[in-house]
Amino acid sequence: MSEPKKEIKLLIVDDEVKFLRSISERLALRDFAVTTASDGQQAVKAAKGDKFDVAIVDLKMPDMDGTEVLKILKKRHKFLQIIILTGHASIDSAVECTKLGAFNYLEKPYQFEKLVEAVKEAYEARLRIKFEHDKNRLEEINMLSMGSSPIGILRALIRIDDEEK
Amino acid sequence: MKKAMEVLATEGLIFFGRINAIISHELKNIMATISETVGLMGDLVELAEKGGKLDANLLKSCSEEVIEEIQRGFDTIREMNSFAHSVDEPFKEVQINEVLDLAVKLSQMKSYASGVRQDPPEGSGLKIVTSPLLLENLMYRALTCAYASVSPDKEIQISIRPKDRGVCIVFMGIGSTQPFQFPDENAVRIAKALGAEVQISSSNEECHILLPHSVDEA
Repeated sequence: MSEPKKEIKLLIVDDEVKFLRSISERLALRDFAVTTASDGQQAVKAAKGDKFDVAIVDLKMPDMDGTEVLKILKKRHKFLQIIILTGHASIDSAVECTKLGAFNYLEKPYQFEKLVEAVKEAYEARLRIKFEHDKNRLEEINMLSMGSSPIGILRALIRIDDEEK
Repeated sequence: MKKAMEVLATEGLIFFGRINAIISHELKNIMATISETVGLMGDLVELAEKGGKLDANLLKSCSEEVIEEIQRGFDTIREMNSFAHSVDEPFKEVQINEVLDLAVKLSQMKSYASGVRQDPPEGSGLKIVTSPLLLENLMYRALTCAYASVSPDKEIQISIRPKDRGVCIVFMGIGSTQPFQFPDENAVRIAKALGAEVQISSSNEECHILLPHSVDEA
């Protein structure tokens, strides 16, 4: 497995502020570019302003819980991979989060190395999904370019781009 | 008292389980924070061993944080212990401010809890004979509804007042952002079992819970 590089952008969401500080410092020492959010609203706002590769999200938070954050982030950022990290783990919530598109579900307390491994795997999954998506898009463009006028191709490209948003 | 026993068997058990789950969640958070902070200290030392500069201030603040979290752990365990003793006897004489204090501490483990200011009771050490577990349950329910009715930066004020018929617990500063939705059906059952009367002010900003001197009077 490849080593994490500086460009891996990580968003960590947890309402335990002291925990958030320590985990973000440790992950930054492992060369991840880390941004933190102490509630769901902050997380959604941060994700809107920046493109993250992986997000680590707590479940029990005030106002907006982790499941809600997961739903919103997956809907708005289709390549973002999300790891749920919770002290409130249950089979039901693990199933629900997986159905909603969570990449992994870890319970607190956990082994830090396992978390780092999960982040790397999530990042690689993101690259794979993005690659597949780009490949399909390229194939679609190739198909359109056969026998279409340049204006027809441009229209089709605009349609594809709109669909991606 | 028979009615109180019935409610204790159902609502009491559910509440006992719920509080245990909340406490275990709190302890997991504490352990996770200690684990990450100690891990960070280890990482910093490892970096220094490899020739990096040791950030003494960060190391110091990590160590202070670990001490604070251990203290938080001790406090949580003390509260867990007090709560466990709530079921030693189904009914007994209790000091109202002690029951209220425990309910406040347990409810503060909720992520959305607001601040609570407890006024000193007008008569010190007011006591009643009641079911400690059901009373904690009722107070806990009132507090969580109070938190849900104000923004987290607001403070809820609680006072304990002696009355001819017993003791009155007053919650103030509630309902400022959302309606104070208390008591629900279960809270009504618990209040009835305790012989308590719940009154909400017409402005929805105050809640009075009047408790009898003894649950026998219920």
